[in-house]
Amino acid sequence: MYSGAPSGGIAIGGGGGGRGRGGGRTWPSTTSVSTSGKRIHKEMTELSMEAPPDCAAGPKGDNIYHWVATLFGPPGTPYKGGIFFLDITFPSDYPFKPPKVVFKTRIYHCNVDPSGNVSLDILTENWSPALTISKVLLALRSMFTNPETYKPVVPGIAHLYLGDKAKHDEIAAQWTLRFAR
Amino acid sequence: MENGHEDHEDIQIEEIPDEFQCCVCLELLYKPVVLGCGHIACFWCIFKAMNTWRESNCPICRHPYHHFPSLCRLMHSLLLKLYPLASARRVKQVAEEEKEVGSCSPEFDDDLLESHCKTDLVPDTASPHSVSSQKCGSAGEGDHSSIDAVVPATSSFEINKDAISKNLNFADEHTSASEKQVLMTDLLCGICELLLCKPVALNCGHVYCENCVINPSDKLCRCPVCQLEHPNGYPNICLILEHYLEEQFPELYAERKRASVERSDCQIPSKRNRHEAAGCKSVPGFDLSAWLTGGGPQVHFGVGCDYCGMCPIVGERYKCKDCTEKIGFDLCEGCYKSSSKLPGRFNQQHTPEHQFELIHALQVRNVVLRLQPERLEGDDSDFQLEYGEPRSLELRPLEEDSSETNSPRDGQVGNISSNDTGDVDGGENLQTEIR
Repeated sequence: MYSGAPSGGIAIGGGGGGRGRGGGRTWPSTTSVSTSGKRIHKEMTELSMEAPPDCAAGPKGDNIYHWVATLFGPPGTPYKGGIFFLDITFPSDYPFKPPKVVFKTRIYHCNVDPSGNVSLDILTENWSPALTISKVLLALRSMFTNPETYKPVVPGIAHLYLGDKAKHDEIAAQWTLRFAR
Repeated sequence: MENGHEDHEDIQIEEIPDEFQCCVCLELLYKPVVLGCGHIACFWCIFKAMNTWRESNCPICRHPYHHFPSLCRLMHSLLLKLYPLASARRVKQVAEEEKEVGSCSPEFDDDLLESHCKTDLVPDTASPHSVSSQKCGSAGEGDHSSIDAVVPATSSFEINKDAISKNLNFADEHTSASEKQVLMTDLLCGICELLLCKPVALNCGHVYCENCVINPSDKLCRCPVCQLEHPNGYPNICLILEHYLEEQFPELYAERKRASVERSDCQIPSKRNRHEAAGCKSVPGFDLSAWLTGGGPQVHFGVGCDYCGMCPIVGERYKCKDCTEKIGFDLCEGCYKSSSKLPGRFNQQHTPEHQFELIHALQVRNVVLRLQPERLEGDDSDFQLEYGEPRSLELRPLEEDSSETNSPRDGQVGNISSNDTGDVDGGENLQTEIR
């Protein structure tokens, strides 16, 4: 069985068919939506009912595979008072592949590279199909309070964070003031 | 018309509690499979979430598993009875998806299920509209005897539950308790024939009490019905099912639990023993590094065994020459040599007369070329070192390629340990070489 799967990692034989129209352009009002579309739709309804604290997310426009999320810098961190916008792009085989999350607002953080790409383990190798956007948002939020300094994408910021936290916080607060207000 | 129908359906669908929601599709569990760790998901969801290159991990707890479990009939029929409307919708949904994909999930030939599915739930060929409207009418009138009577079961349960618990002889045929009896008899252990206590689901999909099926004297856990061995140690208790039992039969379940504790204080293996058992019976020599250097067993990436569910197949692979289904029919060595005659996992029309052929695994070189670099990156450093030595593998042409584009680094490849950045850098070298 399952022998039709030589090309991809997780996505195997059975799943292929439903994903062809994965990049769906219109709001899915018809009965047959692909697996990913259904799941995203479901997450959307759940998020609208109860969003995690200080977060908001929803489709950007007609395309439910393209979302925009908002994170409010949590109090007690140098990001306090900032409003950070993120772009979330769902792959057509979501939830078997992780969504792509990019910071659109500039942020001084050792886990976010200058072009806004986030290095978060659950968004790459540790992704699990049981994770949802609301869990990802929670993880991002905790990244604000506890930067991952062992595997930073910007080592300079991580060094500063470990060596001189006051200085790090000062710069981060400045950036927040400049870019995220 | 279509839209109106959808809305109508949405309104009358039952509220699904979180525990019966599939963690992957976030819908009602449909054709559930129970993993060794006790977590449940839909058949197709697990299938799609499985990693075909190496052992997979539970989506919830990341517990590793190497065998795709069979459907859990007990859970399946329970859900059909508890949520007939939502199930009917899922049946339709999944049938559509399967049509699109071109492969089927297993069907049951069970009488009980069949009758429910065919008469009440699966409006496959008939028009779905008429069936669903008929159903909503009958639920109101309550004149259907079997399944519709179970719809409001939770409420009537509460009223009658003390009657049941007083009358522990729940197998008797009292008419007043007919709707509960359907549920009770559905939740019996196949070995002790009592209400399940600490239910565990084996790889074959059968559910038993933990005490009944786990025999501490041998380290294997074998299903008494289908004689299949449960791979990868002992299964964990299926907490969702246990929780359901506790809620539905509080007193009876408490009683059963007490009895089982007394009976088996000495018998049940401690947690530590369980882990030992899991270690000794885990995936047979699935070591990518050994395989790459040619020492390990063959690994058939992307191919699973249709009997035991091992995916990918490690060792010899036997492919059916006569099955015409797109998904194919394959067996691992153990299952090919065993005499069991199970149906295929995807409803293949396989018969014992079919001929098999032995298939050889892909060559190292082909697979490495196809492997995505990040898959190798995660491997242990032994493997990287092996790989880093220029003469250790027959990948010479590729390495020469990379040395042209990336010559300054090439010198460092051999001694990764003395590298300034260690592991990470080693990983990068590895990637460039493969390309």
